[in-house]
Amino acid sequence: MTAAVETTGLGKRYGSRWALSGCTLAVPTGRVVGLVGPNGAGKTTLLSLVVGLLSPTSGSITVLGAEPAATGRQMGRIGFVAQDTPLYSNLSVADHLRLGAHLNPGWDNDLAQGRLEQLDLDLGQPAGSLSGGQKAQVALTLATAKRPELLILDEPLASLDPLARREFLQVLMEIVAESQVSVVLSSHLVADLERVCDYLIVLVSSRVQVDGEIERLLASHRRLIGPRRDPSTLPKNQQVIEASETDRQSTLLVRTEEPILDPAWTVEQVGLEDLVLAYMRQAPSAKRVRLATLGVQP
Amino acid sequence: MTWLTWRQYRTQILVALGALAALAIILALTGPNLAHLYDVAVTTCKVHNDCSTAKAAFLQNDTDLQTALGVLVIVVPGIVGVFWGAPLIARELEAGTYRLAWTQSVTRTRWLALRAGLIGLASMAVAGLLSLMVTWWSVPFDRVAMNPFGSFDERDIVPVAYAAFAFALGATMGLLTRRTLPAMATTAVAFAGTRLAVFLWVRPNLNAPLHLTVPDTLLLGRVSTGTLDPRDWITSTQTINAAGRVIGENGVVGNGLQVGFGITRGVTISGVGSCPNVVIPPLTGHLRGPGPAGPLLAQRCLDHLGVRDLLTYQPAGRYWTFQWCELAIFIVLALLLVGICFWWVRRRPA
Repeated sequence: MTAAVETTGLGKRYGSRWALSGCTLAVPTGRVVGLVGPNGAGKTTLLSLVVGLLSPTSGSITVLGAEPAATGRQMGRIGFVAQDTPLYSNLSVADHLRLGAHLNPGWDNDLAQGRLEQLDLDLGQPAGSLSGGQKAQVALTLATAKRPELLILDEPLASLDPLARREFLQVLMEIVAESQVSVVLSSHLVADLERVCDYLIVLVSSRVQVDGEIERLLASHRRLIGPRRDPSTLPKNQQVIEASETDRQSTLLVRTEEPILDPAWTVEQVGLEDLVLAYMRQAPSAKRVRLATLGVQP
Repeated sequence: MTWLTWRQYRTQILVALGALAALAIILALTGPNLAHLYDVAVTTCKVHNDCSTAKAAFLQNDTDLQTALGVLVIVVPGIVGVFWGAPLIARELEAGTYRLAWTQSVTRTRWLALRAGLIGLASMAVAGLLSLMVTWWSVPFDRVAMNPFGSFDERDIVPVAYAAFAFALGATMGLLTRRTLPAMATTAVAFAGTRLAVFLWVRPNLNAPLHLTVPDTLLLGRVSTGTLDPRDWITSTQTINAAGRVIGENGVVGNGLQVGFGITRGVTISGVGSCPNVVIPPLTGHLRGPGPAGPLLAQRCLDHLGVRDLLTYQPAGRYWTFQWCELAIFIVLALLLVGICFWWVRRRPA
């Protein structure tokens, strides 16, 4: 099976600043993939490269086995909901549907009409007067009704209130259930991702810190609490992701496929949010590297 | 894509068509009357043998409308560039909607080709129709005024090229500034600058100009054009001395052709020379200064010194060559700018 997205050493430079550099990752098909990372990790740049809004400065990228946005047909295979869900503010919702129908050969008008009817939207209303949640729903409808094989959503939840967020995710889950479309969804709200995603990629400073099926990630990570102990003395199959300690006690987040046998440890499940945060903290940020070269313990 | 372009521009295009239709009605109502007045003036003046007065009187008809139409043909290409060209890409970049437009099943190249093609052609059509109407309406005036190069920018085919250029310039400025208002402002300035530069430095030399030497009669208060056709375009008038050296331009020699005089010393023309034998009689009585025969005698001195005017001109017969050349210049500039837009949209988006 070809990957939905495959990149090798992918980089994008603006002037002298690299928004993304040396990014190598593979996104599987048939999944709802959550892409998480702190601001500035390169999520938006990466997704813009995937949909062909940007062209790479270095490295290579293939999307559904082809160069992004090289042909109209290839573009028809990918649906995109951009950050802040841009719409033409002076065009009505109905005009946006006409836009979709005119610009996409694979347009499914019944699907689009049906979705918007569910939302109880006045189709004659100019898009500029819609609420953030309604705009996001219209943008999602536009991206879905072209019947894509891969749906890319860049921070669609960021500007929505909790209720609108929940409704948006509800619709997204219905779409996935109906069409078996592959989805990549970027966000920094791990709790929301957990609701819809079954695969996770944590991106920090253009690097994949961890990726995999969410169930397996949760199953293979444990928090160990016990008497103070040097983390390097743990068994080889237990990889320490994060360690903190008080005078008497060590708290470790470890990755292991094996059961924890040492009775000295109290073993706890790790939530997805804690897991993601641990991997984000683990990344060598620029600040930490600088402190390390000065010989200072961060 | 055609639909989206039409949807986004339809109001403006309908307004433009409405304005053109209104203008067409005004011109259709006044035009035939002008043609009639012209026929009357020209036929009767031959009978009375005083055509210059009759022609001057004819030119006084509808002067406000003449001026307004001239201004309109000059500014409409600029307006098209500012209001249709500048927002073409800038508005999409500014509002972020390029991310919507460029992620449908249409490549960016095709998006730009259709959009720029349709609105660019509309721009050219508007300017072309306007010029066609104004040129038709002005035929009687142009026949009387006999100054085709004076209304060169307002007639025939060049306004079409100006519109194409202004439109492409607007689109390019939109890419560079990424904001609609700055794009509009820079388009207006750059368009006016380019038009002025071509008018001042390129158009007079589009074809190697011809020269004609005529007696200098400036001191007699008239400009001599010798055997030139009144419709010829005189691009410069230089004053030369007997040796053929240029000593002045546009009737000004040295310190403004100061004529020195004296009863015994004769006439001295500063910067040119003196004629000791030509003596200007001073004013009589208690008045001082050269007498009434001064200009005539000074003129005699100029002739004696061999001062002449060198006219540089483009003959009227080159009018259409010049129209086509200027059209070509602005179309080529427009195509270059459109090329930049395509390169940018393909290679360096967002």
